[in-house]
Amino acid sequence: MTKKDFDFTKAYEEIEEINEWFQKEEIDLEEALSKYERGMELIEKCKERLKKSKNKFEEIKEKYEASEEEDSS
Amino acid sequence: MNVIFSIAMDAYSKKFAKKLKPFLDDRVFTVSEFIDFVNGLLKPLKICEVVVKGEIGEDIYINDKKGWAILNLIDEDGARLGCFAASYVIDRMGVDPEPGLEVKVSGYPEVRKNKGRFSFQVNRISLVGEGDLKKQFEILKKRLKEEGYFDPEKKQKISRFPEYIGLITSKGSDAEKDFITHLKNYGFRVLSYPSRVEGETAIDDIVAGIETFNKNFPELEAIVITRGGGSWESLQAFNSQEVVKKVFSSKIPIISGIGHENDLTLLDLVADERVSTPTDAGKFLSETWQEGEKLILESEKSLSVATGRLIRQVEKRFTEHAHFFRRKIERNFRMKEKGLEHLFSSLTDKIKNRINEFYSLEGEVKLHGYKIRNELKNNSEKVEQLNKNLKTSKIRWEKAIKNKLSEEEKKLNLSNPELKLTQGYSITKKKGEILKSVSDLSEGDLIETKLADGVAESRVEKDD
Repeated sequence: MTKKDFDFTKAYEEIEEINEWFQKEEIDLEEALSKYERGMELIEKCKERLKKSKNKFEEIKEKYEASEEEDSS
Repeated sequence: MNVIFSIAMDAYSKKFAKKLKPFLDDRVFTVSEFIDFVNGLLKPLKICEVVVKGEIGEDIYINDKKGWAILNLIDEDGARLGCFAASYVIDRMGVDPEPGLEVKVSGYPEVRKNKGRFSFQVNRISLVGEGDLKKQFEILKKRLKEEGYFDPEKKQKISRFPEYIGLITSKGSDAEKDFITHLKNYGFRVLSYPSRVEGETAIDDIVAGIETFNKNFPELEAIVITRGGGSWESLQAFNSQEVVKKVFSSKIPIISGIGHENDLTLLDLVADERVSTPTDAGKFLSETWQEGEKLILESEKSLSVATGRLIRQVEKRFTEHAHFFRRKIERNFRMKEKGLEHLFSSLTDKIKNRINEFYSLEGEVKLHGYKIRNELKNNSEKVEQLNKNLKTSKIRWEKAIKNKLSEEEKKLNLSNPELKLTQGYSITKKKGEILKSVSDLSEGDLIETKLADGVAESRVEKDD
């Protein structure tokens, strides 16, 4: 288990930003189009992530192994 | 001491003595060797760690400078155990050692070589009686609070949708099961660190767990420390100063889920987030994702509402522009129309003028027509007369020319040299040239003489 493939939190925060941007009075049409596309892309990815819902479990078996390795180096 | 245990120890001692005997026979130790030997015999107790319960005796000696303390543990029978502890061990207890305080010490016995005294090396000291425990708890809580360990502003924020979770709990326990069940399947990745959760030894496991996660798995988004409910005394690990300090220094946010009825544990106070049971810990995490699911749907809706509004705005603007342009075009058109009308009327005027001019010319032509026709008639008669005159003159001239020509012909015939030949003249040639003088002749020349009816050839005989 290492790094995440997709950062849901980050993606959601960007979606929030986009939604906030759309609340502005004056909106540039070009920018709106690209923001909309980006927003929908992220929403799709988030939905995809929510579909992959099976939890994974792992146990640290050798309790001090990692830290001992670290110490010996 | 328990009788059965006593008998067992007795049997073990006899067995052990038998093995030891050959080693001891005829052996003489030095003092140093002997103390080392005795400490060697005591070593199993060091490996296992022993816990001894007693009351703190009157003589307490704390050497702050050197960082150690000596105290005695006594019991009702008047037994006395001299204890040696490093000051940090005393400090960890959370309260100052006082005579009469009931404590539990864990550590091992050894003979102090320099003093020749039997002493108990204390690794950890903790209070025993519930009253004292409470007292210790309150004192420690106050002190840690003053030191800022529980400050809300020092708490770390847990990621909004945490996915990668570290779990410190007892392996196979109900707490573990409850936690996992209530996590629900949101694609969590759980890395668990099996730990004891009861008694003094739990402290080591919990501290090691937090350390391992921070050192080797820093990408974890939260560490859950959880166990089911228990007596006040059984939860002491979660009230230990060591655990509090380790949690406080963790770079990974920590969620405590300790089942208890009344007071919060010190872990609850220092943790970045606290819930009351393992079940709640699972729920706490799964709810973030439930909320996430809802938020994504809402975001999608609000994004499409926003773009819908934008499209309507654009449409409106287009309509406005269209109106504006139409008005402008119409105005332009009207202006052009006027211009055209003007142009048209001026053109019409010009055409009318031309037509009028034409009519007046036509009138004039009609008026002068007769005159012209008369003129033409007169002139043709003149031409005819002239033509006739020309013809007459031609005939007269032709006759005159003919006569003149025949006269000239006659004259020409008379002067013809051929005609002279018939009258007896001849023409003499030498080498085709007509001879005009005798000087051109030499003796032997061949000459041709043309007469009227032929040519005679002759040679010059004599040259004068």
